[in-house]
Amino acid sequence: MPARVLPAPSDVALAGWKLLLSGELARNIWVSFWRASVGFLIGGGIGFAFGLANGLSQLSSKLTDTTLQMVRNIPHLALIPLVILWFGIDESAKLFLVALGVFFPIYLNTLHGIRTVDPQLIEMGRIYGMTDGELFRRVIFPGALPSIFVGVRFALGIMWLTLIVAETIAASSGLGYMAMQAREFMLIDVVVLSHPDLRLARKARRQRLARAGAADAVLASGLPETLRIEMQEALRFLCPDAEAVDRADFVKQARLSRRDADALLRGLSLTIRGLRKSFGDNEVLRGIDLHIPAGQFVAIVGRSGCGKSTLLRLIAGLRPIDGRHHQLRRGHARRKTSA
Amino acid sequence: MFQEPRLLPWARVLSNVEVGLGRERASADAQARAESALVEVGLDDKRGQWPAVLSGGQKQRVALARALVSRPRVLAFDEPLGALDALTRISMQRLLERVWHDQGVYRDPGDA
Repeated sequence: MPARVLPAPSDVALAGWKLLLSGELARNIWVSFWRASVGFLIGGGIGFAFGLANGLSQLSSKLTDTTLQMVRNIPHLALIPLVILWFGIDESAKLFLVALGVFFPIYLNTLHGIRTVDPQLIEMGRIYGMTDGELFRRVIFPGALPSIFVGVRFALGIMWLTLIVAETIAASSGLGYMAMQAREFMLIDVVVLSHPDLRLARKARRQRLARAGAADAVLASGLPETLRIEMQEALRFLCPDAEAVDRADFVKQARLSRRDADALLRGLSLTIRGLRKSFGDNEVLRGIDLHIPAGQFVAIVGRSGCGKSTLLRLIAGLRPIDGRHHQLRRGHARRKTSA
Repeated sequence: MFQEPRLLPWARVLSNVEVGLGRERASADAQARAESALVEVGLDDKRGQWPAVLSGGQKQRVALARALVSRPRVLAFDEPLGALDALTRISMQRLLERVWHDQGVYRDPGDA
């Protein structure tokens, strides 16, 4: 094979060694590395912030997600002419391109990670009285981390791809610039040396596109709707008088002394009348009446799928109850010592 | 208590139990209370382990410790032993019975 088409690996190594000795390679790598990191931090930071906001807030998601998804489909490298018009040909243009390139994988994966945190764990956190902040810190964020790191990995590939392409247009230093100079002077071995990361970056981009398609499918298929809103509604149904079930609020809203409230809470009984629940057309519970005096041990027995878990979830306030003719009361009863 | 253990996979056993303290999590004796709840279910030697290395029965016992640590007055059990094998289930039933006697908790279980 003629050396004009593809130089021998030994020639590439030799060119690398010469550039290394002259300090040119190290200098260009350092310049590219600096641009890549700064662009990555800016774009990744903004993508992460949007991912968090849109994953946690329905309002924010409605306002910005569609727009971002639309912009995502514009190939950012095709914006190069515009970017030169906007930012000129100095550093900011390259940083902008890199930031734009890494924004989307980080945004998409953060959003996806937050929306797919195990709903069972969120339910558990709610049951044990975590506040929104605690729920985020202890459950949602750690649960989303694996997906966020996937985003970071994709973004790193795109970061190099964008940068090297950006440096081939108008630059006086950097790996892309080095490759361009070498092409001008037909130094094929230097071109090949500069580009292995370019080829790797292309591979990462293909993978990212495949992955982004998959992520879209998941987002579109109707993820569990706002569990939080559902839970708040359930609480409102259970305690129409109390906004919160916190003990201090309970004392205040029920206008009781602390001692009365304690006695009331200690002797907890449960009364349910005409409880109903259906999922779509499937009516699971049809008018359940149940009274459990304090201190009582009650077992609920039934075949699989007859609604035992649903009943317990409704009592725990994790699901909204159908209709308004039910009554579910946490009443007062004398305490019994169990033996 | 749920049909599944629902432990946080990224938290050690002891912190998983502390989750059950609810709003009292920040109090000074939180860790001591979580430890004594672990003693109650016989898992105090596992406090520094990750949930992933525990067996199904051990996970469910950690979940029980988490449910008991705040000394609740009402406990709802949604077949918490359903996923366990016969022998583990029997020992868990004994454990629950003992805890019931010791604490005098009033229970509303789906698990007979």
